[in-house]
Amino acid sequence: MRHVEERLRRSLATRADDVHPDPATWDRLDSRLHRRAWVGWSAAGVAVAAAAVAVALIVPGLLGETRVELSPADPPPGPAGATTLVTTDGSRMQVTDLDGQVLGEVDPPADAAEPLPITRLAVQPGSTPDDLTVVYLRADADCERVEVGWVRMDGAIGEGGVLGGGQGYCATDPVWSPDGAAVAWMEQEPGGAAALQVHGWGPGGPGTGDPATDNARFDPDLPVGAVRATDWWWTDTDDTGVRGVISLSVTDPEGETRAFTLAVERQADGAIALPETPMAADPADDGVRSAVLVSSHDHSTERGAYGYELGVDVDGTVLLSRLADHAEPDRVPLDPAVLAAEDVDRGEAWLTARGDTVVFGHADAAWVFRVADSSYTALPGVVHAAFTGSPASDPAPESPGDPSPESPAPDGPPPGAPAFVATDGGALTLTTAETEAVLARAADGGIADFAVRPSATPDDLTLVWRDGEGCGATLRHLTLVDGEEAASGTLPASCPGRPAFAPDGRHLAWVSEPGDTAPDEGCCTVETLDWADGPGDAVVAFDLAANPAEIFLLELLDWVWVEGTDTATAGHLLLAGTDTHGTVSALTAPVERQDDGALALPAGATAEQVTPFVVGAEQERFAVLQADSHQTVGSPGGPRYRLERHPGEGGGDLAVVREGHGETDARVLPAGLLRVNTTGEVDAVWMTARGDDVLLGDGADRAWWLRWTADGWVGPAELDHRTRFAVPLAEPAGG
Amino acid sequence: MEVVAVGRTPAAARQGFADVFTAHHPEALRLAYLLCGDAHRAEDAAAEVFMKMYRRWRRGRISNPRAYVRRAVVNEVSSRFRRLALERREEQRQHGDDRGPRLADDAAADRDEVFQALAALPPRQRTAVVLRYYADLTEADTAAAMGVSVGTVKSAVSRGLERLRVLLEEEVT
Repeated sequence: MRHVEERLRRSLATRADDVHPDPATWDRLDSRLHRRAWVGWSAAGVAVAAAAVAVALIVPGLLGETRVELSPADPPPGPAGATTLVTTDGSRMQVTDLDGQVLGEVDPPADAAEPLPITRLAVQPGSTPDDLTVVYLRADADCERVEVGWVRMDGAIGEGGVLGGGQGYCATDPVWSPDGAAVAWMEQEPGGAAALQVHGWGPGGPGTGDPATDNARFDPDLPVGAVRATDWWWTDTDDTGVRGVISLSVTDPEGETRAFTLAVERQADGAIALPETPMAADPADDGVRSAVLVSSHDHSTERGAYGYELGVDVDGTVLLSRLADHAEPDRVPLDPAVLAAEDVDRGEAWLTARGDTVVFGHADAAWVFRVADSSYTALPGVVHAAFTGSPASDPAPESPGDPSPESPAPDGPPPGAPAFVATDGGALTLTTAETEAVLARAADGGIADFAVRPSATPDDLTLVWRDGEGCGATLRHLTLVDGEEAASGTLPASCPGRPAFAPDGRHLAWVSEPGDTAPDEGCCTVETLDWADGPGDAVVAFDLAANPAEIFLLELLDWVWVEGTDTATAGHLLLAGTDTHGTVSALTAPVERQDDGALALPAGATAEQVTPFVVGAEQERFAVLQADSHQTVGSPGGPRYRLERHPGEGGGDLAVVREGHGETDARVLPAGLLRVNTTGEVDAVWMTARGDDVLLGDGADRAWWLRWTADGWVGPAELDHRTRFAVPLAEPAGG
Repeated sequence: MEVVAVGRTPAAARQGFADVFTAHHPEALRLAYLLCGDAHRAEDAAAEVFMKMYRRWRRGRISNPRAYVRRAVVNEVSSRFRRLALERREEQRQHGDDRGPRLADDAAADRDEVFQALAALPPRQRTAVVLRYYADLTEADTAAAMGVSVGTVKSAVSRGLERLRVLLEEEVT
């Protein structure tokens, strides 16, 4: 061994000495850092920035005689800014973080075979990534056909509709009132006057708010040109109501875009009114023409500490500026390659802000700019974006509580979540706190579900997955050792259903579903395969009669031992059975491993229903799924989890119940987390568990993680994937 | 714009970071190369480490740059390696390609045989061996750099050396 160590040291040292860093690396890195630090300082821009460092100067008459009071000079309390966006690339909407990492999808209704592209969107104040209302605009290239739609995503529940639309006129940029009680946009016929359309919004959505606001339409005296709203904020309030402005951008026939503010009031009776004519944003003392003006909206429903502006100076340079009361604007020139004056003056540039974070863009590119460290992130392909509010449980990045401040910050699953294997139907993916890896892709009809051999860790695991459905499905397997593939192949299974390993990993089982068995003929065969270092050769089948006989379809959910000796083990299979009424109930079937290691189902074994199924208008229907914790491999005991109804409790009426060691603990799930069908049953839900970690899914593409602790439940926290099915893994040994 | 960054102005931060880069980039590059065996991937990984490090550096959140860089390089190479290896294997499986890992060139010098044998180790074993026998880290420091337990380090090193012994004896004979 010593000889190998000596050779190893010499080899490593020699090979390392042969590596010579490229002297140009720092220049390339510095260039990337420089670009990331800001968007293209020009020589003139550097001079401008150097002059603008001073704080607390007087705001010039930027908005004409009617000065817009943005806020007191002191920064407001509360969050500095949201951390998530809703973005669109024209065809879909997604929730992303400020680096463009996709966190989820927002699915608007699209009945048309070829829906118009999404060009603009606006997120209702108070929205969070988990409870989100978005009003969006679809328009064709010439803006002659438009649709203003809305969608609300509340956990698993989505709803939406159309607010307006038609042909022969253009609608532009919806904006929300700061309290989320109204949404407005401009409508304009080509070459005609623009009108402001307002829709009230209440807790039930559009049309449920104040009647005086709903479907209100105003014809203010606006300058000639193409008009679009860019923001809406309040400025002051008294006994008579709340006053504020809707900021506008107007592109005149000469091709110049200029910002205006339209005074707006919400009167004491709730009615929206426009008391004054719009005011142009006069050029500032430094000659910058304001083109797009927005508020920082530090609080989701109140005015912000700052305004932000896209303006054009006398040299034709586009400037991004931050405005504050009693202070000179802080202005930074933008690289023309990023945003040029002609882009602004075509009326294509847009801007939105939250606290000290700004997002701007035009055409199909956007940028996120953080004032705090002058860093920016490019979001290529993004046509438009809007901030959400921060979710209540969203941890601040680089928080003081970070246990490893010296370690690179990982991204991926919710903090604290276990490693897991998941499928979106197209691939099997292994996710840990630090990595995500594709293990396999669907070869046939799509990956429906899979089983993980007990004691699996991210580096050492065996998977068996079902590719396809019904009698066309195959069971495939993969084994990793130290992160490298050690074995793979296809198992000799006929018409396989979902597979499950025995708690000690020594057997694999599945229900074989011929699919054409008549209800009164009983049901189903359980097929098993021994498993040692790999799958055995022979499938052993057991006939399983279901009781009651109306159950004709069985799916294997899990496998538990309930008692054992040194030589024999007894337990049962956990199954979900579907009867001729389409109702699913939980069943168990006994299974034994005998002294010689052979598996056996007792003769004449039937699947017994776990819970009585009572039908009636006054009775509760149970949707019970059970998953073993697999906490003690191969041995009896260990907590078990089930999903059941808990009527009358706060929140929703479904709960994950943990039962173990004589104790029961329930976590009531938030209302709407799982879909409930019209007959009050839970559709297609799955649940898997490992130790104290539970993964729960809606059977479509959403999944959540919960953890039981002695101090209470953690979660549910949503997994950031389209997840059709997932299984948590054990912690690596010793780590 | 008013500068709000904690601890460092932009200009001071970049100059300080240039010094950090000068001091630690060569070691980061060499470590990445020994971990992945490919000079271009090592260069990419090392550059990405410093790109990600810069934001934390601006905020004054890194007190031990050397340890941070070491851990970051291990993570960066590890994540790329695992992702690339598994996806490449999946591509091979789908295209019927059964080639195994590239082996050492018989005509190479003694040190190249060792280096090629190192390339045949699983990632965790290779990382542990490189950190122990190139960087001369203790078992505890190696565990910290890899984010695993000391026991895992011991096991990985032991198994790695055993596998190297087998591979090198096969090459010699």
